[in-house]
Order: sequence, then C-alpha cells, then structure tokens
Amino acid sequence: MKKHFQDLLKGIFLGSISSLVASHGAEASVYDLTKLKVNDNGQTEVKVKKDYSRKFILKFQSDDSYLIAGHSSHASHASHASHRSSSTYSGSSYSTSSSSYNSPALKPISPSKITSPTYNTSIITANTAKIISLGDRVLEKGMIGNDVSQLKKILIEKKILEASSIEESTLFDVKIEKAVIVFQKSLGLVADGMVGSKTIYYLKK
Amino acid sequence: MYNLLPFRFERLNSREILVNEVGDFLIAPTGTVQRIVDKEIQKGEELYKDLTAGYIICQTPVPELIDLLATRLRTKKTFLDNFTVLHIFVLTLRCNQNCIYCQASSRNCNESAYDMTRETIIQAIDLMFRSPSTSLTMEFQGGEPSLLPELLRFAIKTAEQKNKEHCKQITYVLCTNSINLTVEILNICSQYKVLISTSLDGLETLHNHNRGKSDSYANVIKGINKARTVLGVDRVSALMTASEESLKYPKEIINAYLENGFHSIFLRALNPYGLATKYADWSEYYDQFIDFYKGALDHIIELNKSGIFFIEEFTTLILRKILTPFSTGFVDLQSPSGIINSVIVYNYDGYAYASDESRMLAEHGDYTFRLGQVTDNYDSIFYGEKAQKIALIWANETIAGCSDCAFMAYCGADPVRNYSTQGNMYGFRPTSSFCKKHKQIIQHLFSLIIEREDEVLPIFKRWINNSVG
Amino acid sequence: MVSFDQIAENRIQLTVDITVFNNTVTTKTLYWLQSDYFVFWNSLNINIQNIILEKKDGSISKEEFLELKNQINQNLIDFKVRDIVNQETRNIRDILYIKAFSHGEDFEDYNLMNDCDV
Repeated sequence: MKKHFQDLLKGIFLGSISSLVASHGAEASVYDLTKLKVNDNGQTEVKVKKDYSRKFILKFQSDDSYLIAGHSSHASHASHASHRSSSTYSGSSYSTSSSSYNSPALKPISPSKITSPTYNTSIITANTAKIISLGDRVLEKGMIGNDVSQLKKILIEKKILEASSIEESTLFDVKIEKAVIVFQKSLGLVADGMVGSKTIYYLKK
Repeated sequence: MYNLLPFRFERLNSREILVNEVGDFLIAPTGTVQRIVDKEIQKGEELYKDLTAGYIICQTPVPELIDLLATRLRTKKTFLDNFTVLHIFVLTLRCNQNCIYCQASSRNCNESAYDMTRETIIQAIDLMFRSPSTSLTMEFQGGEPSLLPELLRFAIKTAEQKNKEHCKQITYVLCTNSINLTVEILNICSQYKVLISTSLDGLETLHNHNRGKSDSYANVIKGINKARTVLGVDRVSALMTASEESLKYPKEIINAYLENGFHSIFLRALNPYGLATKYADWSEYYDQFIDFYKGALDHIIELNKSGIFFIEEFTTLILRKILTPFSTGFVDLQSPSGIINSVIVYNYDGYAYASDESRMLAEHGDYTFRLGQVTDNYDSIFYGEKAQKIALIWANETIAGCSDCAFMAYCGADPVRNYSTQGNMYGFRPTSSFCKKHKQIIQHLFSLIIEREDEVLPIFKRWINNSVG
Repeated sequence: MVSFDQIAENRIQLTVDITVFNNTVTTKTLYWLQSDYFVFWNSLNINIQNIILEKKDGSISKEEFLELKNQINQNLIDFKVRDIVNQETRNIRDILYIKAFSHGEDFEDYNLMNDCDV
C-alpha cells in the first residue's frame, strides 16, 4: 500500500514539474529533467547517473551568458521532529513605511533543525573561459549547450547530419542522436547515441 | 516579472489581508491583490520585498526556498505525526447535577447500567496504546466520573501497568463538576498527578441557573479550593460554557473568575448537541455570543493593561496559529479535523466514537460516527470504512467555502458538527454557525491587530508565551 | 456583470459574460447567496449567463438591492482573482504538499536533483 501511495505521489510530482517546465521553459526549476528517461514501454523511469562528479544545472541565456547554479544537498525534509519549542517566536516586526502600506514583515523562524538549501548563483558572461565546450561532459539526447552546437557543426561538416536542421537550436534532439549512432556504427564504436570521450576523439579527428 | 505562490485574501476594514499557504499574513491597502495578480509590483518597491519574504511571490517558477516552505507546512501539521493523542473515557452517564445545556444526556445517580465495564476499560486501554504517539492524554468524562472512584482508580492503574511496557508519557485529566471531590478522589489525583478540569460559569446566580441547582456554585467553589489545596493551584483549570443567560454578563463572568483565583478563562459557546438542541435559537445565539466574546475580550485586555495578567485561552490558540509557525494541540479547530486524527472516545457502552459529540448523536439513535466496538481490530476502527469516508471531506483545504477563505490556515473542519446541524458531513458554509463564529472571531482579532496594534500585540505575545495551551 | 435589475418585489435578474467571469467564478459568487436566495441560472447565448435571484423570505428593499449589487460585483472580481491565483499556482502547490508530506528514503526529489558527496 505504501509503495502504491509513493508511486501516486511521484506521478503527481513529476506531472507538476513537467507542467511547470512546459509553461515556463527549461529555466523553471532546478530539476534536471534530462534525468527522466522514457523506456520502450513508454513509462517514465528515473535514471540515476553513475557519474559522481559535481553537476551543474545550466541555464542557457540568449546573450550567450550562463547561469550556473551549484547546489549542495539538503536534508531539510528528514527531520521534522523537533519543531516544538516552548520559547516563542518574537520575529514579527511591524514596519510602517512612508507609503500607505503597513505590513508585518513576518519571517519564518528557524529552529536549528531546518537546513535550507544553499545556492550559489553567479552569472558568467561569455568573456570568461567557463563556456561548455565539446568534451567537457558526456552528451546525450535532451541536453542543451554550446557543446551541442559544436557537435552539430561537426556532424553537418561530415555530412552525417542535414544542414537544414535548425541551426540556432542548441538542443541535442532525436535527429542528432540518430546521426551520432550512424557515426559510431561506421567506426565500430558502441552505437548508443551518447557522445563520450571516445566518440569526441573521433569526431575531432 | 515574478511568479505567484499560493495565497488567499480577504477584505477587512478597507484593507486586504493576504495569507500564504502556511499561515503568514500580510496587511495591505485595497487594490494590492489586483496589482499583484496583474504583475504590476515593481522590484524596487518595499512591498515587493515583503511579498517575497512572505512567500506570496517568488522570482522563479519553483521558488529556491521551496524546501523551507514545505518544512513550514509540515510544521503546521505536526499534529498528524502523533495521530490520536487524546483518548476520552466516558466512565459513566450518572450525574449529580442537572445542567440545562448538558450534552451528555445524563442519568440519575443510581443507575449502574450506564457505567463502563472493566472489560471495556481494559480493551479500550489496549487500543489507546496502539497509538503511535509517544505521549497520550487519558481524559475521564461522563456524566460525572468522580461518582465512581474505584473505576477511576482501576482505569488509571491498568494504564500505568500497561505503560511499563510502552513507556509513553501519559497525562491524566479528570473532567468533573467538582462537587463530589472526596478524599478518595483527591488521593487518586494526587497519586497519579491527575489534572482537574472543571466547569465554572462565572457568577453565582448564573452558575446555579445553568446547573439547575441552587447550591451548585457554593459546592463547586468548595471543591475547587479543596482540589487546589491538595493538588496545587496549577493542577486545576476551569472553563465556562456560555448559556443564553450568560451572554448578558461578559465583564461580570471575567471578574468572578478573577475573584476565585483564576488567571485564565476559556470562552466557550454552546454546542448544538444533546440536551442543548432543544434549547435555543441558534443563529441569534451565535450573534449574541460574538458580541459577548468581543465584550469579554475587551475587558480582559483592559485588565492586562492595568497590570493584571489574565489570559483568554481560545483567543490564545487562534493567535498561536496566526503569529507562530507551530501547530496547536486544539483538536476542535484543525484541518484535517481532530476526529480520529487527534481524538477518540471510548463510551460506557463499549463502543468507540469519533468524537465527544458523536456519542451525543448516538444517544439520539444516530450511529453515523460510531466506529466500532472496543473489542474490534484497531485498524478497522481507526482506518476502517467509516474513517475513510469521513477522510474525504475532513480537511478544510478541500471543501467549498473553506478552500478559498483567507482564514483557512487558522480554522478547521468539523464533519460531525456539519452532519448534526446541517444534515451532511460536507456542510454548507453560508449557513454554518461553525463558520460564522470562527470567521467573525478571527476577523475581530485581525481588526484588533490592525487598529490597535501597539496596545494589544504585546499582550497577545505574552499570552502565547505563557499559556500552557 | 453585464446587467443587474430588480424585476419583481423579491426577484433580481443579472447577466454575466462567461468570457469575463467563467462558470467557476460565477458559481462561487452565487454559493454564498444560497442561504438567502433561490438561484435560477441558464445560458442566454454562447457568452451570456442569465441568473435570477429570488429572495427566500420577503421582498428586496432598495438598500438591499444596492448592497447586493455591490456585494455581487465585488465577489465576482474577487473570485476571478482567486481563480487566477489558483490556476497559476496549482502545480507549485502540488509540489509543495508532496514535498511537505512525502518522507522516506526514496523521496529526495525523486532523484531529479543532483546528489553530490553521496
């Protein structure tokens, strides 16, 4: 029963996230939807990556700058036990501003057990050396970035990918995946559509 | 550009009160909500910062601090973690008074057919210990439970014995009219640290009128003093029930409490159950009760301003919901509703009921909220079909009239009350006395917070800090 | 509202444009009137809803008429605003409740977050 309930909740959760992403675009959340993989049966399954290196969620902005959000793990839903306290919250300060609006600036109190996630966000312009290039990470379908553009360019040059594919898009789509598979097969590499270090080596040759 | 987070609003005194999903409130001039929704609030405005801090708007579609907000929501509903904490044992229907508003359908002193059997007590205690909570409250009601000291002692002893295995923290409460507090009863209370909860309607004439006996007041005061001497002043608490007559004397009742050495009062309205149903015109009654409440609260505030510390318990509970992020233990006003989730009643007849009021319905032949016999399986009582049916509508987040209300986070749902007064558990808010009473009280408290902030807020905070709740 | 008139001693007729105030909004507004009024509601055409309110007890005085006009007007707008908020925040609300009440080792955002330093 518990498993069934958990599955139900998971379904609602994923549905809500997808809905948000659908309406707001990829910047909607810090959730990495590329981790959602649809298997042959059409069911969503969550794939856990074996790569333990620190991951970044990238938001691509139109002016070629990147928003990188580094995210450290948070365990704030684990301990709900000790929220009772006999002392009270004295945080409500009432500010009467010069405008006609009064509000109590109520802030949540933080009993020591609540740990909030810490986010480091920094906007980095294209002038620095932090642009993701081909080879910086393993590419697969669903990803976006400058390295995907580079990949596309190489595939088009090798005449494996049609040049009419939307040139501005930096999304690793199905067409690109198919092209990668063709490339990999032609070289006798593992034809899984994922662009790892081996595939990149041959691409750059 | 910003994104909205879930919030509700209400208009009050030419202001708008905005309340977010976890109960934080913001008071703003009229027209603010429209501006917020039209995305007209500019980043530089003071309001923008307050709205962000108050979890009403956020910069990204999924707020960065969503986990914090989720934790706060969880905190508000912490009472769910403990499940059933309050276990009421109706030891007998026998009573030695004749209160006009009695909801217990009390019987004559000598009829033992209305006593709980020892087997029932044992079974009920077994059920009680199945609760996941580490602390339990075992409350004895009736009728008048002090009429049966041996049964009381047996019940407590059985619980203590069983507790050796479970090591839970048990609080015993005896709900009594204080008239029959014999040495034996006081010994039991002293030995097992039993708290006494008694009923005092205020003025002598009023109290006697309500009890239907002319010497009631004198006896009650005698009993209270006796209990205080033996057990300690802090182990005796009193609440009053406002009969129609009582509503005329708000100040006098408070003063009477003060004179009798009490520093707190719980202003309680009549419930339309039991003998009380035949008794008054309810919409008029509740209108009068609200006036009574406002008058009494004003008087209490004045007392506090003049240096006398006096708390109004019901107000404190609501204020705790408004001004602190914590959940209160007040089972009559919570969502999901207190029935089953926090309270269960084991009746003298060997059956388990969802709430105290549910057994009143049973006295009138309506067994809708009778969950099963104490000999039944724990799951079938607490998680059975009836419980599941009630669970569909016991949260005010999900019912019409409540889900849009700004005060949803401070209020609660009561399917039993809905069923009893309106014919179905879902209820109909426009004619609900429960809704009217609580909405008006909460509005009044916000009114005070808005208009008389400097005057009342320090007093309210002191109450929240010092009240046992 | 498109129109609001008293058509009999105890009856008021009002029309609402469904493209401005959808049925959810209108229903919620009328919900609160059900204690004192009977509600008769039909569609006049594809856009306009026709509603007649009949007072359950007695006739509608001038003051009452004005008060009702004010109240319904305000409520229609208020519920519309609430509807907007509800629509926009539906998903985040679901996420919030699931995060708040789903606890267990397998939850951790259903592995959609990046777990470093495992």
